[in-house]
Formats: sequence, C-alpha cells, structure tokens
Amino acid sequence: MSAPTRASALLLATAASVLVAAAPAFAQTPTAGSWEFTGGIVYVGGFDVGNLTAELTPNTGATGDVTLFETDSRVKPAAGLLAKIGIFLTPAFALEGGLRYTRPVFETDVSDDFENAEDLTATETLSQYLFDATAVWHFRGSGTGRTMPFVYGGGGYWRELHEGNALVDDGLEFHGGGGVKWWFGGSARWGFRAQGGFSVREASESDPEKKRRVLPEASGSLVWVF
Amino acid sequence: MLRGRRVVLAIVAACALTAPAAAYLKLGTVVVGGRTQSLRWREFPVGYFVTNTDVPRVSAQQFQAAVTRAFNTWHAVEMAETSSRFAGFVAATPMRGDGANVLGFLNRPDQERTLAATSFTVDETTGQILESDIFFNSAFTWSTAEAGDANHYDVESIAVHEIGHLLGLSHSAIGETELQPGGRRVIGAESVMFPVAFSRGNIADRSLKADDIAGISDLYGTRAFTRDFGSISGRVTKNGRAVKGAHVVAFSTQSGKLVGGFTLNDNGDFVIAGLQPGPHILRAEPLDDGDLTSFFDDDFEVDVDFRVTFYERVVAVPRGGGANDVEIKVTPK
Repeated sequence: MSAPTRASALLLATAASVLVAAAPAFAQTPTAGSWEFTGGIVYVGGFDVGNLTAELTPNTGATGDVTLFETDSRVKPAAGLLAKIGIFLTPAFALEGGLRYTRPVFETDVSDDFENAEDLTATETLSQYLFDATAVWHFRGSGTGRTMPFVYGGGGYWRELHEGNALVDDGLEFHGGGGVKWWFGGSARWGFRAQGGFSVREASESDPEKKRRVLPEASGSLVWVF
Repeated sequence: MLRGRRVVLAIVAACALTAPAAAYLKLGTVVVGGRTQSLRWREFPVGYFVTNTDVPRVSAQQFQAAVTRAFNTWHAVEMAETSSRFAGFVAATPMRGDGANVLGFLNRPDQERTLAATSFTVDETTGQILESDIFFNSAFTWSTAEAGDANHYDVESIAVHEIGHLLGLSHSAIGETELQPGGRRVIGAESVMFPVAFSRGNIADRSLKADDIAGISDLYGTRAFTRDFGSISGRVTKNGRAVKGAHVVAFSTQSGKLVGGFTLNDNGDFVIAGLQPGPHILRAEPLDDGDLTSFFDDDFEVDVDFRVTFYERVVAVPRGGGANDVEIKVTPK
C-alpha cells in the first residue's frame, strides 16, 4: 500500500470486498505477516440518558417543586459501517486499526407540561465516529479448517457531531468480545467475520449523568487476507 | 450636545424593544435609523448613593448593606464584567434625575402594586445609561432579616431584581402565576427578573437563576462567555404567519437550566443567547403570566392566541456559535 491515505485505503478495501465477495476462493489462510482487510456493518446499542425536570422555584406556601415540564432522554441503538485493517504478527495474533461510523438518534420525551402542552418526542440524529486499535487472538484448527474463532480487545477515540455539525463531543472508548471467521471454501482468501461484544464509552461532558456507558455491539463483515 | 440627547425613562416597564434581543429581554432605545440599541453602562464601577432615611425595621445602614449585597450578587457572575461602588449616604431621594444614582425609600401609597421601580437617564443615540435611580415603596413593609421575615418584603431580594434593571435588563417571563383578588400571585418562577415578586418573607430572589446570568452575560459578557456559550435563533409562526411577543424558553437536557427570549419583530424572530453548549428543548408560550405592559410598550402588539408548543427537534447549541433557522409552529387556542 502506498500513495492513498489510510482512510482512503480502508474505504477502497471495503468497497472491493463487497464487489468480489462471490469470487472463487484462494487457498490461503493468514500467516505471520499477512494483512487483513475487513468491511461490514455494525450494530451498537443505545443507552438511557435519564430524566430531567424543568423546575421553577416555588413561591411561599407551595407544596413541593413547581414543574414546568419533564424530560426523558435516550440515545437509541444504531447500525453503521465499519472498516478495519490488520496485520498478523503470528498465525494466531493480529493487530487491527479501524473506523466505525454510526448515526444514532438522540430523542427526548417531553411531558407533564404545566400549561398542558401536548406531549412530544423531540429528536436529532448524531454522527458518531470511532477510531480504534484492537488486538485479536485466533484459535486455529477447527474440524474443517474453515472456521477461526477469536477474541478481541482494544481501545479507541470516539467523536460525536450533532446535527449541522453544531457540537463536537469526544472521549475514550474500550471494547472487547469474541467472534468467528469463516473462510469461503477450505482455507480461502475471502471470508465472513461475525463478532459480538461490548463497547465502553467513557463519561463525557455532554452526558448529564456523567456515566461510563457499556453498550452491546455486534457486526458482520467480509474479510480479505493477502 | 449631550444634554439635548438625554431622555428620562420613567420606569422600566415603559421600555420596549422592537428588534430581537439575545437571551432575555434587554432594555433598549430606538436610535437614529430605527435601530434598537441596548441600554447599558459604558463605564464601571457604577457609583451609587443611598438615601439617609430609615423606615420601620430597616435603617439606612441596613438598607445600604442589603443593596450592596444585591449589587455583589450581579458582580459575582463570572462571565460578565460589572462593578459598583457605594459613594455614601445622601439626603436626596431617588427618581429626581439629578445626575447621581440614588437608591432609597419613597412613600408612594398611590402606587399600591409597585414594590419598587427603577428609572433611567440615557443617551438615546448610544443607549448609554447615564443615571439610574431605584426607589423602594415604603407604603409596604420591609425587612433585612437574614432568613427573611414572613410578614415583610425582603429588601435584598427586591434589590437584586431592581439592580438587574439598573444594569440594563428588562423582565423575564420564566414563571407561572395565578389570578387572585387584588392581582397576580406567583406560583413559581425561575428568574429573579420575573415581573411579579414572590410573597412576603420569601428570599429566593437573593440568588440569580440561569436566565438572569445569561441576560447579564449577554450585556457585559467576557471573552470567555463569547467563546464558551452559544445561542439559538429562529422564529415562531402560526398558520404560516409570524407570531409577535411569543415567549420562547430553551431547556438544557444536560443541566436542566432554563433561559428565555421573546419574538420581538414582525418576522416573529427570536434569539436566545448565553446557552450552555449541548442539546436543548424549546418551548413557545403566550405571554399570559403577567401584564403585557410589564414587558412591552402599550403599542407593541402581542399575540397571545396560541397554545403552548414544544419544538419537535432537539436543538444542539454549539460552543461559541449559534443554532439557527429554528421554526416553531404553533396553533391557535
């Protein structure tokens, strides 16, 4: 790989893997020094941001708080795209770098208005990017040689844009899980990769609860080894 | 000729804006060309005198101490640069337009619904405040008790409100009231600058709320305020036509803070500044919790014939910038 930037290369690789997925398999499994491109779709779970009340300071004699309205916010689960490039340092151990892009919806239920305004769910769509590095350990040698279970773990940097790129939020991310690679035919150059696990997003300033969020994640991808 | 350009504004309620004001309602004057200029002090500290008159339960010294605390409450806002200086006790009474800023009691039983009022002398070409007096109506009973006194109005709380006017802020509409014999009673409010005072003994208005802080920061903001806070602008419409005089509140889903603004022109435009970056919920409501003259001139046509409405989108406020082109569509009652 030379002139193109890494991002461009990842995108090209993803596109190429989709286009030639049905091509005949080559007799090759990863060895030390092999490179691996991965491109596919990803699902990331959502999380509840919590309830917040618009309160007025009560006058003397009022019983309790005076609520103008109440809100309940959440980030919904979202699907997105991922691309990775990895290198096998040994036949079992690989290091990967990747990019994940998702578009979750942030929504807020508004209710119990003091002046009986209609309840409403207000929404906006976020753009989330994750740049990550991952270590992968493969368990080689299933019955047919076509499957390679693996476990993975790593960390990254996430960056979130609100609509109109109005606001940038960012932070650290850690992830882990397991999966399997299934090679098309014997020991092939092309394969399918399925994995599931968790993604831990460190607390951010924009999170009113300032909580670490643990989100489920799953993905399905095409893999090309060379 | 400065003298020729001066104009005395009787009380704050007589002032109105005809152009969008950022965060809050700021006092303004229409200058040459029809442009609205915010009223503000150009030089600090603002020197002020206190009338050397005692009233039952409140000596001039106690009054001065309460007023000084109220000034300091505004000066403590980190994102705004204001300051004041107590210049001494005087025999002069407030509201005389004598070139000195005087705060003190006046017995005005004829103003049976006015606890206190603020007057100005301004340069109407620049909006510069040249003088401002505050009178406290001694027809009511007052207290400076640290914890408040259930039978009397709290000097410091009312002083914080009036000094907000003195610094250039008009009224906020973040509050709910109920009509009772003899006038409106506040149920709850989330701005010291709400035009109807809390009941006797209540000292909640000694502390500024987010709306007050946004307003004073919008007038006298530091560079950090411009850099770290943002705004939302847009318009309110009803059946495709602009709504004038609507009250729009921005609620941060991160902090729970409320900051308000108004649609102030024929396009129904509003601007709410001084907002923390992050997602906000917008709520538009008619101005029905106070006398309209508490906010606008008599000739300002306010549309109150619409239902309270939330904007259907979450609006993300950028740091140091604005989220624009919001349109809140309301329906008639």
